[in-house]
Amino acid sequence: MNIEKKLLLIGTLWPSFWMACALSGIVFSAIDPKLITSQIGLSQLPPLGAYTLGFFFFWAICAWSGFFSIIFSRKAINK
Amino acid sequence: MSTEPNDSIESSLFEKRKKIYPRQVHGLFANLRISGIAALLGIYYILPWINLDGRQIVLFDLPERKFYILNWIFWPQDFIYLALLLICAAFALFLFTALAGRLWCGYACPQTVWTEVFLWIERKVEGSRSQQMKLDKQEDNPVKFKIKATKHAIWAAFSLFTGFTFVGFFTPIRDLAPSILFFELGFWEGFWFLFYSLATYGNAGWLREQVCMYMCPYARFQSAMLDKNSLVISYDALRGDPRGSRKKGEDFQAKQLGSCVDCSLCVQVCPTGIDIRDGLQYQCIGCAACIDVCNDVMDKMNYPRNLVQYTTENNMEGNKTVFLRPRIIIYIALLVSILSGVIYSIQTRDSVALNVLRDRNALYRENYDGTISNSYTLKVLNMDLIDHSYTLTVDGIDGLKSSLTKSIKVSAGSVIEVPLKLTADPESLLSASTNITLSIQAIDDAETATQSEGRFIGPLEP
Repeated sequence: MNIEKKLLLIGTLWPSFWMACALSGIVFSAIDPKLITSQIGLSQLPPLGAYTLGFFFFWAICAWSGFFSIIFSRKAINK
Repeated sequence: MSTEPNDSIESSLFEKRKKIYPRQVHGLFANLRISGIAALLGIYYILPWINLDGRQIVLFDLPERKFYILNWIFWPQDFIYLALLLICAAFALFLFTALAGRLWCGYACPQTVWTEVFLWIERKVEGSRSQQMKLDKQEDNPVKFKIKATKHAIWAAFSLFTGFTFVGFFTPIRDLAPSILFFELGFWEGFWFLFYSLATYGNAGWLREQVCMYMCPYARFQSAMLDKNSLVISYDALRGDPRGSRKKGEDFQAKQLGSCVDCSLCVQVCPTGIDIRDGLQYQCIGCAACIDVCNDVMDKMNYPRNLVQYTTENNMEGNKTVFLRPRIIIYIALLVSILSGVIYSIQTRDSVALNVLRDRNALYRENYDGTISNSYTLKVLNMDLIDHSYTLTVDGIDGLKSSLTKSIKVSAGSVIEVPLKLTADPESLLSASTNITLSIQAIDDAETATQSEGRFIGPLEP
């Protein structure tokens, strides 16, 4: 993996990891994940599983957003 | 001026990473760093094993949505305290950076702490810096394989223990230990155990200084928090240059040399592999290893110490250093006020909470004797560390009768729901909706009490 790809990976995954930590804290302090899992048919999921999936969901959407921010900013510079 | 940055050209400018072999260093700052590391690792690994009143002293019980810290229980509604503590941590970081540069990075950052442990293991298994370099240059052979496998096995064992301890902050660690030993660990606990172990192994074993150089946001903005009065690690170029080798006792001034013997030990001990003599760089984590090793060399040469030292820009320019300056005073004032506010608020917060939910099925019920009844559900939350029984009183309507005849018993750190029916004489109702106040008070402690507002609904024309 060249340095450019490494930096893209770091720039995408690392800030989004911290955002996912913050989001998990804020969202799950306001909403019990049991309420969400029961609504989406995952009522058998244990609480720790619900927190884990929630955290990775937040991480994924933040990483997705960060990835496009980096990609679009690079295209803009290249023009 | 127009520039057309080209990604491929830019990326080709990055030099391929060379493995850094930091030389072991001894001295005042190394001792301070080791003491700090021992204290922090001690807190991390020992804390979950300490019990208080039969309960883990620090336990983040996610399934029950309760955080136990010392003799406090924090509920989801107490998230504000965590937010305020994080703000305090940020201000503390600003304060220490403004005062003495990257103290956090050099002495307390988890990346530094665990990397030091991994480096120590590496030295114990592979030997000194030069032995490690020699080993890496060797062609693959059984001895090299054995040494490398031993190192990675110890790293992996230490990482697994770190991951186990991490999960032990969320699941009672005394139950967790046997469940790992007998392979009875739950899937999600197992997932986090391996995830954190892998993160430790990867960050401290493989990535090391790359985390500080490429991944740490603090490294990028710390320079904005420094000013001319901040302590930074600096090489005294006026005294040190021109650099050059010489024999001990030789008149270096006659050779037109400065005090720097150009031994490059300051580069060899640096965990990020930089040369402090090139000036302040964002890669410098402020560990002060270069100060220790340079002082050793100065002692051996019988030169004055502190060619590399903690100093301020003002000091180097011959000006006076001012430690107590406006930004420091503001940081301290903010820290003290937020921290004292948080502590006061935690100490004086209610240890009981009462929520009153009206029955949604019927606004009110007319009884056979002409009285009016309203139904409610009470949620009583005992946030104390001991069980309590509470009495309920309702004010707002004369002669209001409650269906509760017994006290409400709630275990420590629990919430229970209690059905409640209130009955009033329609003659006592002055309007269709009357505000009422429901109060609960612990029988064994008059100060453990709280109240909540509610509404009593009656006919439109009572």
